[in-house]
Amino acid sequence: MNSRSSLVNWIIVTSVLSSSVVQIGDSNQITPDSKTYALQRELPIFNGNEVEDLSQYPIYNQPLPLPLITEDIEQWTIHENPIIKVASIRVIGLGASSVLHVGSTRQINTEARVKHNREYLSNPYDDEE
Amino acid sequence: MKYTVINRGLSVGHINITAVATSSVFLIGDTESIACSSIFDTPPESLIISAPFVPLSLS
Repeated sequence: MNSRSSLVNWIIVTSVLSSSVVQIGDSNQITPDSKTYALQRELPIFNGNEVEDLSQYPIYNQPLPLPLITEDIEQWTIHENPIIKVASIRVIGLGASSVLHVGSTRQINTEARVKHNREYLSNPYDDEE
Repeated sequence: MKYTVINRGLSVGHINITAVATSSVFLIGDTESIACSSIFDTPPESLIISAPFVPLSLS
């Protein structure tokens, strides 16, 4: 595959989170994968052993459906101008399993599984109707 | 399906991004395929109302 070149003068990235990728230059395949268990407590007291085994929750094991391509696709690309120019990029944050890529690649497959829990000492909805 | 893409000049000034969110891609370049999957779970049973989860006083 003949790809274009990317020309970027400068990039500032402030924060890069779990399993996210900043790639400068060409690559072949990028597959970030992250599993997050978020526990929010009314009182922020944690022992560190709240979750021993993530596999007890089906969200971390269940297969994710991928788009099915049933049609035969034949693409011809003509790069009349083979350079993509970008003056500057500023990114504050890259979330879990996300990708910032300057350059060409062949395949990107990202996967993120997030489970949120809230733990209260008493019912927070008691005063509501 | 058969088609032809002609890439003419592409020149961009400044790009300002607050966040590239969970399982997403910001690409400057060419690719053949991208598949981004993400699942997020906050079921009703994830709201736990319990007695104090740790002793409030150790003595």
